[in-house]
Amino acid sequence: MTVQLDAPRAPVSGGPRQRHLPGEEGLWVFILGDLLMFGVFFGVLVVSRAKDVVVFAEAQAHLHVELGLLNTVFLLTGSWFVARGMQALKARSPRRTAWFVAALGTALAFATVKVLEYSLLISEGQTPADNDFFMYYFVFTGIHLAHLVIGAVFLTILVTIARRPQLTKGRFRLAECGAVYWHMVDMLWLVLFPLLYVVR
Amino acid sequence: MARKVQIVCASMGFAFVVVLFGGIIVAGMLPPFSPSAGAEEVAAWYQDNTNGIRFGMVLMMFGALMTAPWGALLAAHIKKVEGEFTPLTYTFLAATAAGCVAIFMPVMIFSAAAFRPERSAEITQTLNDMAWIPFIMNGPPAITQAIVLGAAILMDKRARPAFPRWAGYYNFWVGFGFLPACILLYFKSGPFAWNGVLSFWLAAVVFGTWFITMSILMLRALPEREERPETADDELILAAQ
Repeated sequence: MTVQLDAPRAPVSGGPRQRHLPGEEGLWVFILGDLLMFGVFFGVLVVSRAKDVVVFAEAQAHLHVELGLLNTVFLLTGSWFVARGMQALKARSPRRTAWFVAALGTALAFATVKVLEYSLLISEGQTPADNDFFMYYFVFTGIHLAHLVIGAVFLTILVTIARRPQLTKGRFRLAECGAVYWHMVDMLWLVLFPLLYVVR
Repeated sequence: MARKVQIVCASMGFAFVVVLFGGIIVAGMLPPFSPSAGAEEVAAWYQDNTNGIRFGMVLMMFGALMTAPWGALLAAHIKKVEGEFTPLTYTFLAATAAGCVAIFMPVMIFSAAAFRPERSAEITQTLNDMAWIPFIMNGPPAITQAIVLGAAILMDKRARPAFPRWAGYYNFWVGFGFLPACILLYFKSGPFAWNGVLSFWLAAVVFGTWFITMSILMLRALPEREERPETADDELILAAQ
């Protein structure tokens, strides 16, 4: 059983502790690229808002802030579950699978609330075609939801990795990639939520 | 010889970017024509730029096919990863062919629109829509190429893989970059319209840099130069003075 999972290539004698990048270097090309793309989304949103402050404020009042807040809580809890799960995975704790199953639960809860929120808005007569605010709201939260669905697939992989009695270097690396991706989904929402629901 | 063929195929990515975007600029399509323009305005644009558009389209027509050797070399690399049983290679090739068409087809319609610009304005506008919409909305071939290539790069377990692993993740990201354009049918203005920040500019930058990046990576993955057995062509005709 590998003990040195955290720093696979750590020097044997007392050199400085090697820095460990979770997952693998290449994954961060994707993570930073995706953050860059969402950065463009956020920029577009802020610029359009500045052009049409009144319409944006009026439309924003129709959003269900409490549902958005609930979803924020789900994602934050989910990230914590994943972090605990990764610790448990390294420590070979018997509860490691449970943490990831719980995280998967928060992902499903988020998706359920989001779909409920969409249908509420549409039944109240707010559609993407109404104004720029709702166009951005539906498109950006929709793209985020697509990321979350991919994240849920990753969490499922994490569950299967955790369930195996043996942990290999390759599987641990894959698990770290999944965890990093999940934290990214969480982080994007933490910018998207205030930008859409709260900023006035 | 194989090495030279690889150099040509890989370099087609550079040539493609120069010729495609060169054609777009010559045709006066940068920045793109707004989808919210009226029929008269569209017709006037074709009447005022007729020859520029025609020449630009000839360039873009050849540009479209430059993606074929570029994609073929990538497919050959994917085949090396897959071994004998090669579904990813075939998927990549099919998507590459679709990618050629995705550029070629709208270019043909732009050409038809610029052929008789004096016709009634509504018809020109229809042709203009028929060309711009597929030209920008045609993400799926490239998305398929990017995902298949990304997967193959990450699957490469050889001691000396052709491409660095970051390139696999980079390709996944490229696939995401082409997604916003898929909803342009709903918009005649704003960032998702066919001339918008996300549908056009983001996708164009990601698309162009993707071809260049993969060209560079393919050149770096060239096989070692090897000694070739002498043939009749190597026989000296003139000795050095």
